[in-house]
Parts: sequence; C-alpha cells; structure tokens
Amino acid sequence: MYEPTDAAELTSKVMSDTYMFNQGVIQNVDTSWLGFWNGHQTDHFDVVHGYTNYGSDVKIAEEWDSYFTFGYYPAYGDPYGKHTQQVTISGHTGEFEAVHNSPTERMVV
Amino acid sequence: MARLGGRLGAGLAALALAGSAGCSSAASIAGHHPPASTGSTPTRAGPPRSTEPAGPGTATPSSPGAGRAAAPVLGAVRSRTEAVTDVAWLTMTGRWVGFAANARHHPERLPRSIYDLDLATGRLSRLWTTEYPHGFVQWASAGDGWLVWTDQSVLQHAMTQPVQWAVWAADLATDRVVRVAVSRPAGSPVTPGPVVGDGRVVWDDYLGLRVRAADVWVYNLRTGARRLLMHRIAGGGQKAIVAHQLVYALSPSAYLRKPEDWVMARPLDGGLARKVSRDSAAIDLSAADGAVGWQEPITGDPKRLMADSLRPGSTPYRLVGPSLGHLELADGFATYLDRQDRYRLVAVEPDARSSLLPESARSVAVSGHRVAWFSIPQQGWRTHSSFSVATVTTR
Repeated sequence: MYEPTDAAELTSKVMSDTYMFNQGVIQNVDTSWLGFWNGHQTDHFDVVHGYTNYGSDVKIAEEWDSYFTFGYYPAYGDPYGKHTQQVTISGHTGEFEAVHNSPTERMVV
Repeated sequence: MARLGGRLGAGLAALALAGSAGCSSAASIAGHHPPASTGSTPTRAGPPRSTEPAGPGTATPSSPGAGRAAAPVLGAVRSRTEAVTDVAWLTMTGRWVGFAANARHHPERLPRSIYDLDLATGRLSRLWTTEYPHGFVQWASAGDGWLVWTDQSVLQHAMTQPVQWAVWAADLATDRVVRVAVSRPAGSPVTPGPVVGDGRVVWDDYLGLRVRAADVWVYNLRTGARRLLMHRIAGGGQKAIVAHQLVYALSPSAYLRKPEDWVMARPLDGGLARKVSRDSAAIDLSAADGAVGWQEPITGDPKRLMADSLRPGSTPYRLVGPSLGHLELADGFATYLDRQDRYRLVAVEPDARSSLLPESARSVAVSGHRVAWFSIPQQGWRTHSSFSVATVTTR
C-alpha cells in the first residue's frame, strides 16, 4: 500500500507500474473528485491502467456499472467505462484529490 | 419546517472580498439584476478544491470556424470569499444561488448543510442542516425560485448498500422549507435526484433490486398534493423540467446490458409523452429556456453533446463535439467540460464556437444570463471558498 503525498508521486507510481512493470494500479477513491461520477460521493476502488500527456492524465477503467446492477440509471448517471482523468490539482477534478480524500488515502502498487 | 441554521449574512460584511475584474464587495454582487426566472439543472460537482485566482473578466475565444455561432462573452467577474467549506451541488435560479457546504471544515468532507446566497442583497443564509446523525446532501437542484435537495443518511461504502433518504424543498424568497418525500423504511441503494419547476417537484423512487425500475412522483408546492406520475419506469433517474414538460430518459426495452435510452418529454399537466432524441443512447439531461440538452453515448469519454428546441417537429442537433460532458443549459448558452477538463461557454446552437471560463472552477451553475462558480484558494481551504458570478452575453 502506498500513500501519495502529491500529484507527482501518484503519477510516478502509475508510470512505473503501468509502463515498466506492465500492471494496473488499484486506488481507493472518493468518487466526487472524478468527473465521470457527476459529483456523486461514495467510497470506491478504481483501476488505473495507463497514463497519457506525459503523466498529467491517467487512464481509468471504471468497473461500476449502475445499469447492470440497478437496471436503472441513478441521477449521477453511469460512470462505467474507460475514462481519462487529470491528475493534478489545477483542474476541475483530480485523481490525486480522489485518492487523497478517500478513507485509506492509499493505492496498491 | 423551521429554519435550522442561523443567518450568516451579517458576518459576511466582515469577510475579505476577493475582487477581480469588476467590483469587489458584497454590495457589488448584490447589484446584479435578476434575470427572468427559468428552470435550472443541477451541477454535478463535489467538494471544492484549490484553483487559480479569478482570471480576467472576458472569456477566451476558441478556434475559429466559418458560419458558426459566435462564442458567448463573459462580463465582469465579481468574486468574494465565503466562510464555507466542502462546497458541492452548486445551483442557481433567478437571483438565488444554492449549494451544499459546511460552516467549517469537516474531516469527512461531506457537505451537511444547505446554503442560499441572494445576489440581490448579498446575504448568505444557512437554510437547513441534515437531520441524520451521519447524513449529508447528495444532490441539489434549483428552478423557479425553489431549491430541492436529497438528504442521505450515510455515505455508501458499497454501491448496493441501502440508505435512508429524504427530499426537501425550499422557497428561496421566504426561506420556507418543506419535506417532500422520505424513503421506505428499508431504504434504497439508489437515492433520488429531484428537480423543481412549474411549481412542482419531481423525483424518482427506486423500487429495489428485484424490480429494477422506479416510480416517478410529482409534488405540488402550492397545494402539497402528491401523485404518482409514472409507474415502474425503466431507464434513467435524470430529469429536467422545462416549458411545462418533464424531460426524462426512458429505456424502451430491457436488457442485462446497456439499454438504448431515449430522451422523452411529457406534459406535466397530462398528455402523451413523445420521444425527443433520435438514435443514440442518451444520458445527463439538462434543460432551460425551452430547450433540452443531453450527452451521448451513455458510457465512456469523450461525449457528444446534443440539444433540441422541444418545438413540434424539431430535430436534435449536435451542440458540441468531443467533451467530458457536464452540460448545463441556461438562456441561450450552456456550460460544459471540454476534453482538457476545463469549463467552456457555448451558444445553444448547432456546432457553435465556445469560450473558456476564466479559471478552473470546482463547480459551476447557470441560470438566465448568468454563470456562477465556486473555487477555493490554494491556502485556507479549510475555512473558506471563493465564489464568482458573471453575466453572459450571446450574440
């Protein structure tokens, strides 16, 4: 378990694990910081499977499929699918903030 | 329901005001003229975060394109500091701004109170606080001078965990708060996303994992009467009220996997529903000024943002190409997130040009001819947030 203290540390771990070791990174997240959750707040784990823009964005495979489970789209929509999420704190949302505000604040590397 | 929170307006006068282009006092925000009241749709944003200082008072035009509608122009940005933290669900109707937040930083960062800011007087009020010991506001939306929100009993640690919920509404002119609906005793894993307009609140009541559908209810704010509008609706819990119609998503057939959700419009006073969208699965509804917008496809990025005028015989058109969604419609313009996760303004016309909002905002709301957003400073985010508002002009 690894607790990143800033966005650069998170990016570094994602880059090393996905590029060098060819494995995904499991992250504990507060979903309200992820744009594709439409503000819905819950505890959750996500899989980061890559990065782009030299590590300023991470690629997330969101496994939560609201329609499959509920047969219905909740008001927050459906976060399922592949998404690109900014890492840094300069934007509207951020992967680092999602991890930093999660219950464990950690990721599995 | 009596007001549960105290007035914060008097304390605001002593707050430091962060001015950018334009004026820089509480009175300056109070000087805004309210636009005609229109339906507003909820923003989807969580607690605030650090952003850059407020930028210049004009938006930055995007790439040129012949024959396309001009990008909306942002007027002077008026900013000030508010003594609230963990801001979420920013929404706006007429001269009022509503949002969920805390008076002081909470370790769980769950917004527990509802606030309203009167742009005409500059007064900020804490209107209501969750009635659950570990509750928080999971959803808020505004329209026609009313604010509606969902109080959730506890944060879900698993998505199928049932929780208690209650839907509340507040008349922002009088601060009268009414409880519109409560969950069944067993709770539900899906909480409603209520909308308000035309003097009515509409919300969905999910019927459970065995039924896999929801009843849609309507509450008359004048009479207090509650009636079932639609029974066992499959599809989406997202809705909007515009032009005396309820716009909602409907799944015409049931599969284990993704349905082809249609955007439907149904008169609130009775009458047949009609299909608005055409061929693609649609989600994330927003409506205002007689128009409705949605995003396609349902899952994954990027999204294609579509709109329709809701007039008989109208045809949906593409509003914006690749984007990250978060479409919010107002009078003649809309906001959305571009592929770089930045908020942009665009005219509600086919493939119109867009312009950037002057800073990265954590949450954005639109109503009438105004846009408002919250951000928090790099320092001091545990004690205050930065609120900005500006008028938008379309050409």
